[in-house]
Amino acid sequence: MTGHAGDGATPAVECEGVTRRFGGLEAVSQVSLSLAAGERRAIIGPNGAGKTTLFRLISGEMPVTAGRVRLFGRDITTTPCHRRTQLGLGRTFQITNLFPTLSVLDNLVLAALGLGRTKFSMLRPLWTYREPRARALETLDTVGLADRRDGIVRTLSHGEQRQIEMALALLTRPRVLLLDEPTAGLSPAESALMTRAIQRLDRTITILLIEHDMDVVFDIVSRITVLHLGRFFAEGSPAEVRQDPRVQEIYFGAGEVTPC
Amino acid sequence: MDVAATRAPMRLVTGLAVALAILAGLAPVLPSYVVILMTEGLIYAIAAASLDLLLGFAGLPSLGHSAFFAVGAYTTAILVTRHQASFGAALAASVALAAIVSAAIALLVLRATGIYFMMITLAVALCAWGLAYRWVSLTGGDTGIVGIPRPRVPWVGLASGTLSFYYTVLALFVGCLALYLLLIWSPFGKTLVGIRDSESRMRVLGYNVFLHKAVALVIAGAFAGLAGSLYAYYNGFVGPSTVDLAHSMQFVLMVIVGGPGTLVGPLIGAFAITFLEKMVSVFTERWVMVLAAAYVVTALWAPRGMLGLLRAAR
Repeated sequence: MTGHAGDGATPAVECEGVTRRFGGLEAVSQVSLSLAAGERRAIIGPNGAGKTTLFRLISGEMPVTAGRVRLFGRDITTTPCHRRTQLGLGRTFQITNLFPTLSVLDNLVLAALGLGRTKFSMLRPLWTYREPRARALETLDTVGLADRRDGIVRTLSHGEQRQIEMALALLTRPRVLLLDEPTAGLSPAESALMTRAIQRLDRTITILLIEHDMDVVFDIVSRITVLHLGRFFAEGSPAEVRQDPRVQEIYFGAGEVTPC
Repeated sequence: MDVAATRAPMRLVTGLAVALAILAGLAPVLPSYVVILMTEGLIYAIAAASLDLLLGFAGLPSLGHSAFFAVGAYTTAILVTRHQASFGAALAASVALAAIVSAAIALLVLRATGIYFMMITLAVALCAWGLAYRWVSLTGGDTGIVGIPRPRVPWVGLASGTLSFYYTVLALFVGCLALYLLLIWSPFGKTLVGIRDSESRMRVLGYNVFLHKAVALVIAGAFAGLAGSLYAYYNGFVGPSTVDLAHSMQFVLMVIVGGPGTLVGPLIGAFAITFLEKMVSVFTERWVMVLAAAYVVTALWAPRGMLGLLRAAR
C-alpha cells in the first residue's frame, strides 16, 4: 500500500455508518465522515455528542457495533489498536494519560520505542540504545521541556503534562493525528501556545480535533463536523457552522424566552 | 550511551556484590542451622523476585504464583525419584514445564484485569493445590513425594552437605539475579512499567499490551519453577502443603513487605519472612497471625515496604 499523505485520491480517514451501542444507548449512531489527506477538521458538539467515543472507535480502543473504518483506503475496522498506531494513527487524550511514576525522558523514550523491535529486547540495558533516546531528546527540545527531562511526570504542572501528551503522540510518527481537547484545562496563554504548536505541525499530517474552545478551532481547522446525541448533525466551513442557527440551538437551546 | 543513567545501576550492583560476598563469606563460620535458613531464604528470594516482575513492575497482582512453584517442585520430585534425572535435567525440565504451564494460564488469566485478575489467579493457585492433593497417581496425593536426594553437581560432586548445597543454590541465585537485573533495565522491562502506569497509553503508542504481559507471566513462571525445583531438593519432600495457598500469599507478602517494584526489596522481604517464620515458630504455633500483623503494619506505615522505609530514612 502506498497511500501516502497528499496523494489526494484516497481519504486519510473514512468512517462509514460507524455505530457504537452501550446496552440500550447508542453513543455513536450511523456516523459517516471522510477526511482528505492533509485535511484539518474539528469535531464539535455539546457534551454527550459522542465525540470521544468516535475517537475511540477510530483509534481502535473500542470495537464498533456496526460500520467500517478505513485508514488511507485500508479497512481497519477489526485491526487492533496497537496495529493502527503502527499504520500511522496517533492520538492524544482529553484526560491526561501519561506514565506518572516515570521521568519525562522515560515517558518519551517509551513512546519512541513503540514502533520498533527494540521494545522486545531483554538482555541489554535501555541506556545503551542511542536511537530512541536521541529521538526522545529531540522531541523534548521541540516542546520546550528539555530542562524538565529528569522530573517525575506526576510532579509536573498540568500545562507541562499537556505538552508531554502531545509529544508522546508525535513520537509515534503519525500520518493521522486525533487530538482530544488538547487545550483542556490550560490557561488562555498556554492555550494560545498549544494552538500555535498545532498550527506549526507538518502540513502532511491529517488532523482530527475535538475542541470546545471556538477560537482554537477557528485558528486550526478548515472544516467542522458537528455531532449531536451521537449523530451527524452538520458539516461545513467554520464560518458556515458558526452562523448555522440549528447549531446555535443545540448548544444554547431554542430561542424564545418564556415570560414567567 | 547515557553515562548519567548508569550511575544508579552501578551503585545497585556494587551494593548487591557486597551483600553476596557477605552471604558467601559468612556461611562457613555460621551454625549450620542458620545456613539452612539462608538456603531457604535464597530459594524464596528467587520466587519472590519473579513475582515482583509481575506485581511490582507490570502491575499484575498475581495470587497464583505458588502454582508455578508447584510445577517446578513436583517436576523435580517426580523426575528425580522415579526417573533418576540428573540435577541439570531436573532443573531444565522444571523451568521449561513451568514456563509452558504459565503460558497456557496466561491466555486464561490475562482476559481479566485488576481485582478480577486477582480472583482468577487465586483460583489458579487453588487448582494447583487441588491437583496436588487429588491426582494421586502423579503426585502421591496427601502423602506427597518423599526421599528426594540432594543433587549431584558438576565439578562439586554430591552437594549433600549443608554448605555445598548452600553454595549451589547461591550460584544459581546469582545467575537469576543477573538475569533479573538485565530484564528490569532492558527496553522490555521498561515497557512493563509503562503497562503498570497506563495500559491505554501503551496501546496507543503501538504496544501489544497483551503480548508483553503474557511474556512477563511466562518469564516469572519460569523463575518460579526454578525456585520450586530447588525447593524440592532443599526440602527432600514435596506435598500439597508445599504448594498451598499460604505459599502464594507468602510470596505476595515477601514482595509487599520488601517493597514492590524494586527487585531488591522482595529479596530482603524473602529473607526477613523466612527468618521471622522460623524464629516465631519457636515460641508460638500462631505463626500466620504474626505474618498477618507484619502485613498490616507494612500496609499502614510502610506502603513501599522495608526498602521504601530505608530510602525515606536517608
